[in-house]
Amino acid sequence: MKVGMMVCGMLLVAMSFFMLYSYQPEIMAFLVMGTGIFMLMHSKKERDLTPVLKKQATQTILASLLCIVLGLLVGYIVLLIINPEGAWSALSTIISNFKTFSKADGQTKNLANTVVKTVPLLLCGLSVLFAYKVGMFNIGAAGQYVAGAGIALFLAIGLGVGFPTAEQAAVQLFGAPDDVARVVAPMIVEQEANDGEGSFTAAYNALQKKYDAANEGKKKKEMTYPTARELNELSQAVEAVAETEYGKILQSLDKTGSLTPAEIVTLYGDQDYSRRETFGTLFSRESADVTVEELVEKYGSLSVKNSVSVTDVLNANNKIASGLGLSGKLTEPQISGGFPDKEEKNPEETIKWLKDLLPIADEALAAKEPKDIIGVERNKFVIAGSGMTFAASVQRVADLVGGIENVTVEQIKAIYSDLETIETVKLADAINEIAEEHGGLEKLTIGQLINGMGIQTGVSGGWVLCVLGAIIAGALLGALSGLLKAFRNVNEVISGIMLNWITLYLINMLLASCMDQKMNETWSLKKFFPNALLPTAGVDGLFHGQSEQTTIAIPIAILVAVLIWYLLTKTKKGYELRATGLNKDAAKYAGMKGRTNIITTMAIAGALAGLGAALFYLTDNTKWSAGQATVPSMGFNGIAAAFLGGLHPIGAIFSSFFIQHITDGGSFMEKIYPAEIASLISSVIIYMCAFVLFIRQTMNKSFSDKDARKHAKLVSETKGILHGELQEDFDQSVASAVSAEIEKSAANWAKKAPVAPEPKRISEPEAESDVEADLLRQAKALELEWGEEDEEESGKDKKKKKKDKNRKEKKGGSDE
Amino acid sequence: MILLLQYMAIYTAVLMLVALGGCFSEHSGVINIGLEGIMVFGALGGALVMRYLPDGTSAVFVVLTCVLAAMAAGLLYSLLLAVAAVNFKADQTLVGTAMNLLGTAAATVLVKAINQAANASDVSSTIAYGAKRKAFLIFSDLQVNEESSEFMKALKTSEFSWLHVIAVILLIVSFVLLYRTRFGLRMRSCGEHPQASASVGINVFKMRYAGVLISGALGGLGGLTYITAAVSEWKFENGVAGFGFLALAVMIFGAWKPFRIALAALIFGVFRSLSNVYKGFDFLKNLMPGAVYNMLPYIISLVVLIIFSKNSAAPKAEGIPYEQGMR
Repeated sequence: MKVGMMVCGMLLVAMSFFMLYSYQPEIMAFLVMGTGIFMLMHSKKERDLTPVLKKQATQTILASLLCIVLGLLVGYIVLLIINPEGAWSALSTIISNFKTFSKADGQTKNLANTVVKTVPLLLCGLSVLFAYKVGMFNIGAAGQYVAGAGIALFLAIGLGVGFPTAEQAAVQLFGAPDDVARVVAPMIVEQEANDGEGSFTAAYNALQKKYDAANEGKKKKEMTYPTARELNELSQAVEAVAETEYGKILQSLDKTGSLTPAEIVTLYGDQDYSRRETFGTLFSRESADVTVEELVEKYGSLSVKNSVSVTDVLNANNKIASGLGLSGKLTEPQISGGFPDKEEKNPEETIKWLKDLLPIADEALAAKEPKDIIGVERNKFVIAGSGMTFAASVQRVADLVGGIENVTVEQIKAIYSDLETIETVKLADAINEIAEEHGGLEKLTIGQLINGMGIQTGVSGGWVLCVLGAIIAGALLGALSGLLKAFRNVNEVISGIMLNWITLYLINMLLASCMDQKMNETWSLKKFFPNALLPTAGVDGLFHGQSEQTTIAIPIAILVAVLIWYLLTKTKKGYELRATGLNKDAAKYAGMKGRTNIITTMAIAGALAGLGAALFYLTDNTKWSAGQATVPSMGFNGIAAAFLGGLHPIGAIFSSFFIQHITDGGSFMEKIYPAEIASLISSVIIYMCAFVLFIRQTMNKSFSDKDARKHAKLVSETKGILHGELQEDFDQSVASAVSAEIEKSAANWAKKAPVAPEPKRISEPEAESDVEADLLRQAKALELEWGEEDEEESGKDKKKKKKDKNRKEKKGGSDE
Repeated sequence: MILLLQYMAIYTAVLMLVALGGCFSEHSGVINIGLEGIMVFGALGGALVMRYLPDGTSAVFVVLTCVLAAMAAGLLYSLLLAVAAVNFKADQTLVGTAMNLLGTAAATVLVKAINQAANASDVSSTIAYGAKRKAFLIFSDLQVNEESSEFMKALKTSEFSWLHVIAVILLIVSFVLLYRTRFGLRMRSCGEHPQASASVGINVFKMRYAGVLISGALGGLGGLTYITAAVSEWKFENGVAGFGFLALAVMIFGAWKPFRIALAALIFGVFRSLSNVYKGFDFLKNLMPGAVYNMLPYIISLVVLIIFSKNSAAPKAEGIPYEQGMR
């Protein structure tokens, strides 16, 4: 022990010097050094550390540390093989992770990043740990993680819980007067850019330049923007207002002050805003006998957008085509193959084209009037020109058909019925309309206004809902696994695996509507769904404000770990669960409800994994990518974290941080080394952890061997002492028993021997000495005894007396 | 149609091989969750051999060497589990999980290092084996010209591979080995009641080693079958995309019996391949949305499990480390 401790101590001190040299956190280095010195000191004092080492906690910690060192060693060897030169620095990069950054800010930021990613790993680890303590291997943690993430994101994005609330939206939308520029102008500019240069753009650019000069060098909060009046002047030049999706408005805004509806109307009465309608709905308001001229007059300024697919257009065509008697439907390949370019073709060419496409069209075509057919397929050309006003598009049809008098309303209706168009309405009118619905302008609330304008709003503090949703989703999934195991004996490993995949595909389906098509992942929460983000509540102060992703998730996760520890070790339910895990049958016979416990455990494990997912995805650190093909590995890494922490909730905190630490460190290595070295190291560590039991067994065996030897020594010593003292008594009792026997047999023999003539006993022989007297007395007693025996002789008594004698002898003999 | 059959053959062969491997291991008493890692390593072995074989080698030679290499790689990797579980009495589920993680990581590191050594700017984790893959295809050198039927033309480009045939052969061999030979009987007894086997004189350690090593070989071959299916290069960063776990499920689904495992793999293969080919059939496309096809194999397996798991019987002594002299 002494030598071992000395060696260990020296090794630790040496390691601490290495650590100081290679960018390790100084605290760790000094800790290691301290431990080494402590060991050295104690080795000299020869204090026995075995009682400490026998404790399960110390053993587990030591075993885990050993696993970590072995894993790092294997990693170092692999690094050496790949490229010997940079191997040591690569390894130290992995170990030091954020310390490789020289500036304190950079260090804190990366530390924050690591901590943020530790949260889901910790919670998944707790999930696996909890189930394992109850005897089940929760491989379904990955699926529960996916479910939690999916439901949280769906609630935030899909159901819009994360949208700004009505009040926030109003504030963002209308804001303080100075902020209108940031709302309306950019959209208008964008539209103008699509349609070509307009006077508005030029005017706006001039205005922008003026304010840019004024804002130079100022911080964001101090900047000024064009006033509403200036913008009103600008808006006179606008002919059509761009399509606006209010989501887009909200996207580009910061929060500002608030306005009442009356103020809004006063200020922005002349602003235009757009509401989307289809031509179908527009036309449905028209009477049956409206003429084309009236239509043009009314809708002339509306622009037609080709937001319809070719198939839709041609389906509309097909309706008309069938109306014309042209049977046969254009198939998809025909459409994509034969779609004409935008150039105008003369009617004959177009007919030929149609002829090629529709094999049976010949006769039908020959029988019909060219203009109808042209009207049918010409609209393709019309629609293909984007941004044309309605009037212009009608005019174009008219040109081709030979004059506007030839265009029929039915044709227009049929052609444009499923096209979307944009209707420009004055904001004041819109607000008044909404106010009428709700009983007057005075009674109108911001919320009703926003909702009436069709802006989707969210819930303040919506993240709570999202987190709760994720917990419930995870719990349900876990409970499903538990149910299947409890009632149908389905192995939880296989049901977990199946549910992993089923959940993955379900969530992909669910989140399909929440995807940003450009980036192929879910929308950024920070930009568009601020109410779904977890609040930072001062936790980012711990990290010097370096990262806004450090949220209350971190204290919540630690709190949950402590709660789980408390639940498992200090409550009755926890005891029951652990008992079920150790011996299911014994627990059942003791009255613990096995089935309920299994389902409860899996539900809690699932809830933990779901919570982990929510706490991670709602910080907007990572987004859920579209078409995620495989189950995220977080659920499986949780297994690693659980076991490395010695299956103890508090240990899981440290182990999950460590695993994330080296994983992130791996990404900072030089590029010659693949970043997967870090996961190689952590998997080797986990592999070694499986040997922990063996290590602990050997440790315990060596201790128990020593103990056994000590104990045996003690026993033999005690025996020897006792043996020595009692030996005399033993000898004496044996001697007396033997002498008694001798006397008895002598007496017997005397009786049986031929009777010598009785010696005349005149008198009792006189005892010449005490000893003789004793002997005589004894002899007399024996005679009497013998005589008594003779008289009372009967089988039983004899045997009984003999038995008693034997027992007495034995007793005497075994007295030690 | 050929496409459907081809995908069916691929998925069934892969799942069957790996599940058979797991079956051997579990029959001898060692839970083998590390099938995914074994698959990756076997695939790695086979891929490396395929890549470094010179171009003109005969097809038979290519097939033989690759199969042997894959089996050897899987076998060596499963030694990790064997030593840990049998000699050191480690926790078998944990070792399996560690092997899974280790397999993908180690394979990626290895491939990236090899790629970089060959060409300093190549940092991908892909191994391209190109034309040699044709050696596996059965029908690649079918004589086909313009007049042949559609069927023949489709067959020529199909992906039916000799590995699928080998899989079927191995299925029969496994059944015979497990249930008709003395070796199989002894192995099974080690999984049911090792103490009883030890009392009769069977070396439990050897049997368990045999079980795990066989599972390694079969798993490695399954990995090779997976990565040579329909692609001419493989990105090892992806591992085997969760197929090892599926094989584990198929094994439990098949109640640890070879022919039932084959049936389970077939059911799974049919539905999984449906999710690949449903776009080509109109009536299937309109029947259900695409995502449901993806989920179908798992849902069906779950339903079957719910119905048939009541009496499922794993080998009794699996997962319990064997100690000599224990009751």
